[in-house]
Amino acid sequence: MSFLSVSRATTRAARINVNANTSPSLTKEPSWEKDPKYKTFSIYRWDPDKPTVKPRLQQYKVDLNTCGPMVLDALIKIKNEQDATLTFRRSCREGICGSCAMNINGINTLACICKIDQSETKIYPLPHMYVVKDLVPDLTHFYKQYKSIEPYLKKKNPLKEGDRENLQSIADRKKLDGLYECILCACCSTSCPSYWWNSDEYLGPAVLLQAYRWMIDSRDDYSHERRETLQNPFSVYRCHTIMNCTRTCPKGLNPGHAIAMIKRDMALD
Amino acid sequence: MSFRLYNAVPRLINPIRRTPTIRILSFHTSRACAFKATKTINDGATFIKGSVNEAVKLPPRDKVAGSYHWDFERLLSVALVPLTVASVVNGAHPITDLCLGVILPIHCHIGFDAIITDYLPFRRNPIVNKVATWGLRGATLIVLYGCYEFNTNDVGLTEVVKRVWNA
Repeated sequence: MSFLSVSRATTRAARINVNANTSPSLTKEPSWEKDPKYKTFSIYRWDPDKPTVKPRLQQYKVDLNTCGPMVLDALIKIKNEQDATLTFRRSCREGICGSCAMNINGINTLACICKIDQSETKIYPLPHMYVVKDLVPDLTHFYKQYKSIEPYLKKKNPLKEGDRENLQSIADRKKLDGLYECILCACCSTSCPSYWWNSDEYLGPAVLLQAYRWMIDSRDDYSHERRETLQNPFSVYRCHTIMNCTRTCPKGLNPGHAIAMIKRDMALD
Repeated sequence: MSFRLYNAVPRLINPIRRTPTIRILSFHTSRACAFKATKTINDGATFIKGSVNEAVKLPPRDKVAGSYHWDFERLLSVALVPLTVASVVNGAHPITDLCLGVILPIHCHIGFDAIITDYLPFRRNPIVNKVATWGLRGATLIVLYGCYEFNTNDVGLTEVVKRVWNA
């Protein structure tokens, strides 16, 4: 085994040497340059400045050999080189901000952690949301719903000066695993048919997962009251365990399970 | 009214509704949604009520419509399992027939009621919702009475399933 790795290392070194020898000449192209490998992206376009023009799919050809591996790389490349009017949200490019959530080949996911495959790719904004422009959906209502569940620590006896910080056992902290990772990209909520039909009253998987995250936090004193506010036919009970949320979550979380736990706790309250 | 009915049909992304354009095409039934753009209140077209920073107002608290309803629904579903097994294994019995004649219609009622709540919600189709809800209630009552009559004056639910099965 060690012999193998040594030999591999030496061949690599030799290859680097070859490159080092050829590069100063600069007369011909380096040998590792490949032929362009084109792939077509069909992207949803709609411009609010021309409201009478129907939304359409626009095709862009991208050379995969000069493009990064993820769909977001292709989008940025298109915006840089082909069409500066293409509009989309992006920030962290590593799946932690949730800005670039969109519908790629029929699945809600983050463009920055979705690999470009070889077949044709269709990109739409998140389904059943109002579109601001191109791939930018209007998430105002989603954030307003998030606000309604009071996503912050609430104490019945506020800390006084000189008190220790809110401590939590390792076991209690473990309960938050699988919940705190949620980045509120809205992929799950917008994949839920129940949320499509009743999004003005049903909170949706993402917000309910967050609601559960605060209900089971051992430091929070309002667990029961949080559940009481959801006692109506719409906020929680429009969930029919379709489980699209869990299937689509780009972070691999399970909002369906969180909603089931809320229902169980509400049944036992 | 017919436009309201149309609104029950699920749509994917529909920016048409944001852009009021009345053309000849708009009068085609498949494009009736174009009319929705003229209405903005209570039709589900604009969800955003209040300022951007205001939290959404949750529906009023109602434990009967909330967790009690859900518990009851599950209880009926769970109760149906031993009842069905008993009827299959033991054959017809007046008590199981009576229970099935009560629980099955209520179980179906809750299922259909969920469909009405999902697809014809009151805030979007007040009239259609009312008609559907009361229609369902009437139907359930008739079915309950029918099951009772059938169990007392005829062969009973289990027996009729058995005969159809063996026919």
